[in-house]
Amino acid sequence: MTARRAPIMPWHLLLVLFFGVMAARTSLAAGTFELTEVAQGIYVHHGVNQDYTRANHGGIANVGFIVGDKCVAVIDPGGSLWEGNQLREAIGRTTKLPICYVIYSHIHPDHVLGGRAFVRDHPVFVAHARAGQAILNNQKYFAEHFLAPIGEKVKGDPIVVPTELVKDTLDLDLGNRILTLKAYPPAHTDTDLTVYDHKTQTLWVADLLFVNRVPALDGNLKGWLAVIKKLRKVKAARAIPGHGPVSVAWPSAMNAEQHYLEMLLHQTRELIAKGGTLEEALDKVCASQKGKWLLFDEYNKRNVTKAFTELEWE
Amino acid sequence: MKTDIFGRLSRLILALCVAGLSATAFAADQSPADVWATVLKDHYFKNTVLHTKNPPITLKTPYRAEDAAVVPISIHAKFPQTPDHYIKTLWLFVDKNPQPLAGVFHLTREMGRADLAMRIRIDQYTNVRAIAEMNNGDTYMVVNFVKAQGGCSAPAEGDLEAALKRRGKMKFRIIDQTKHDKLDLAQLLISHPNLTGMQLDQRTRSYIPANYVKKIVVKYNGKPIMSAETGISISADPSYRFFFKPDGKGGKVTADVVDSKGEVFKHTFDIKA
Repeated sequence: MTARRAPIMPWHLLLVLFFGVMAARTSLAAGTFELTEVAQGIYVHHGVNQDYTRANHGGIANVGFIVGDKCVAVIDPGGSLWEGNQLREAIGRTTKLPICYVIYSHIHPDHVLGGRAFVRDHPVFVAHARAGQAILNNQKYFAEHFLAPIGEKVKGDPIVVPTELVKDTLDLDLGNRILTLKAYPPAHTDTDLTVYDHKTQTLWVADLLFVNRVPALDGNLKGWLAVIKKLRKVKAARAIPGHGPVSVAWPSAMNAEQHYLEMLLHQTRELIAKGGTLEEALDKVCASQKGKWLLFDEYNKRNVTKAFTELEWE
Repeated sequence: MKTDIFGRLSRLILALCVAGLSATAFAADQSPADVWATVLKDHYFKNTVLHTKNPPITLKTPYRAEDAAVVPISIHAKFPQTPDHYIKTLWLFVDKNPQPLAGVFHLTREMGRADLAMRIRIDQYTNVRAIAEMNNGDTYMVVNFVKAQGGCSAPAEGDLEAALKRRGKMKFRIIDQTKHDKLDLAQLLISHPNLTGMQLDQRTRSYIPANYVKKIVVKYNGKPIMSAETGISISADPSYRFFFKPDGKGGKVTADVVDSKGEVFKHTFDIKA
């Protein structure tokens, strides 16, 4: 008996050790908001390729910050107050410099709803010139359709209203580090901004670029394709997409998205010219792209509806 | 003379919560959320038997709609419109929308077939019901459940100023001449933001007043084909697909549209022989 028992003890110990380590690792992972320094002073947190759930707290977009000599600019404060707080704490662990800007790349819930976490730092909130109307339109809508389902209750308005608006371009100085913000006509949404960091030649292109996850069209299809053509001319060492890897090769990472959007345009246009209906378009347009994108079933038909109703007035 | 069915609706909606409560009190097995059984049925069809067996129509809706602001739905007649057997009126309801009655459509024998397709807004998971009244007064109902959310409370997309500028523009096209013998399948597109009255204006910080297509009359060579009274449950830029019988000599289709602000839009389209 004792002979049998003896080897069992180390097994128990091993198990305890094993699960102990696993538990420690899990809690470490849950406690740490993972950041990748994609270029000197540019930190990005990877958003999961999912829709809002209680488990992901709306942390579904790539969000992060850029550190200058004087202060920090947050680029997209996250998809919920929870994520905003996580990001804010992560910034505090990275640098003691103050947060001087919170930039909204566009007015979508996964990019703006963390803004409330930063109000106590008194940064300047910066957004596209059209953001005011988009925010007013969406205050209630985002709270009801994105935050309530994940259990986040909001008193008052969930989106912090920006005070600095970008009509064309705007330079922000973080101390020896100039960021150039550029506003676009309707493309992915009608409030798209990009941020260019001159120091590292990094283009924070946000949701004008979807990688792996199917692009979501909320602005204007022809406008988006026109913006892509312009963006291609921007010289950058890398780009940070709103969805997908935290850093991608530029501009080649845009090929798949451009291909999808061009297919969406051409197939929808052709179908309308042949007298096709919206129902047919929903079945057929971009059907060959299924399997090539994450969340394809959730968004392709929405994109087709948007494209169809845009193009039938051509 | 005619009562304005959509004008009365706001009062009806205000009464909904109260009605829901009292319904709970009186009928324990009736869900208070069942707006149809507790309010709408009695309001619109108090003394009408709505048959559900052997309906003359089928209703096509997506089970799940990815864009709740533009949900394509269609009603298909099971037989042609003949002088002594035809569908006279169609009603479309979206039970859980702020304005449940999406539209009332007056159909004619000149259509040849009482099919009708349109795009609607759906605010939350709901039953969508089409009710067809035959020329002899028999009335039938078909119901589908649709999963979609946010179609009415969703903010107006894009550039409202531009949308208002082109309001009243119309397109009319013959999209199919093959489906049913000697019938043209046509589409009428009306540019109109169909404002719900639930959207805010940034400058005034107040609600942009509702303004939607309220009445449509379509005629072929002077004879009515189809007319409709519609509300805010119809998507922006309303689109209608329907059949009509061309006489082979061509002619003109006219579309007269009135919105809820009383603005009138008239267009004439040439039909080739």
